[in-house]
Amino acid sequence: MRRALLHVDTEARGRDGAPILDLRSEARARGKLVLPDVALDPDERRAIVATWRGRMVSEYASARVFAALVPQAMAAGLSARETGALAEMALEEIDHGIRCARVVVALGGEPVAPLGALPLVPTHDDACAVEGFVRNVLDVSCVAETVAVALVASEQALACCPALAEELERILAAEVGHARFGWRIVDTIVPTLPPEMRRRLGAYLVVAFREALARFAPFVTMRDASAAALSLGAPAGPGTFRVLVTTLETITVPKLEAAGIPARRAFDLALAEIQGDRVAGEKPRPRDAA
Amino acid sequence: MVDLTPEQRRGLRMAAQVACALSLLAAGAGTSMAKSAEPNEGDRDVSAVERTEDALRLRGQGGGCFQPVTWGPPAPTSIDPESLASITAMLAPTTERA
Repeated sequence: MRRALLHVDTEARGRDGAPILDLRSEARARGKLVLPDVALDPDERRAIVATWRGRMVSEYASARVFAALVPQAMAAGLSARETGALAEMALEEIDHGIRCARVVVALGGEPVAPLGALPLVPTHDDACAVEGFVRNVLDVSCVAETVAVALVASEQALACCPALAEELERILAAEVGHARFGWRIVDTIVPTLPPEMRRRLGAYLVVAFREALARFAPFVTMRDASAAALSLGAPAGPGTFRVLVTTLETITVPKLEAAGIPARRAFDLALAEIQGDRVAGEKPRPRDAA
Repeated sequence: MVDLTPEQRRGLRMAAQVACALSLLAAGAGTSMAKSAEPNEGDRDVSAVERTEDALRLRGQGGGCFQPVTWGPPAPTSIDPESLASITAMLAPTTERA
């Protein structure tokens, strides 16, 4: 039997011209996931399906982020073990995309969605290989993945059934590894860098923090979800934004400060900018779709 | 006090464990928001969250539109060298800036 080699249908395009990600066959191949029939109003059900579909795309697309870090890790002189770990993380993100697709199917949806914009991972040509790599690791592992651990762990505790809790547990285990990778870099490499380089890393963090805050800003004005909806993965509204800010302020910032990066000042500058005060501007860039 | 659920505090504790930063979390908002009404380091965090939420609400950021919570890291942000240099100067110790 002839099997499809493409996950992304190169002919089908979304409204914005983006290719369509179709994980129906991958989800089917893993077997059916059965979720209990939780009473939800139609808006909540739509929001939950959209959430898991958004996660499917976001997880799948983030495989390219870890894959792009592989040559950067080589150029920075990382060990084969750490470089190989990045390649495994890329595969884990694709696995998460399929896990999310299974949940979409279990909720009665189709695991098909536009893949969206796929901005390139920056190479930071103004910096040496180590500094450029560390900038990206700070953003990916110490900001995004550390926050992801807090969010997935809290959601896992609310899961409506053991089957969903198990899916979240598998995803959480990998996210822990992705975050821990960055903290290993911070513990071992960052303290050896010259003070001026660590200050530039702090400057980079202003932009990384600001992007994360901007990405989570819409949650502030979302309404709180019901307990039933939360048990299936609905966004927690303003609570989601609070988890982001608290994770950054009480975990990421002090850890980076301890490694000699001026992260506290960077976070204050990013907050000030989000609150409405311009600090420094860069050219706008395309955002990942999810 | 930052309004976080027990499950969200559980998530924060796990993130702190991953970063080997449990002692930092205990010294900051993660514990104080749940346990203590005493003024401490946590109060700074509380006001940061509230100030930012207020500012975003006032500006109508997001407009109440639905957005899914996703976990996959987006591509890291880029920064042009001029912006990086100007922000780096802002992070210089006060004596150097003077």
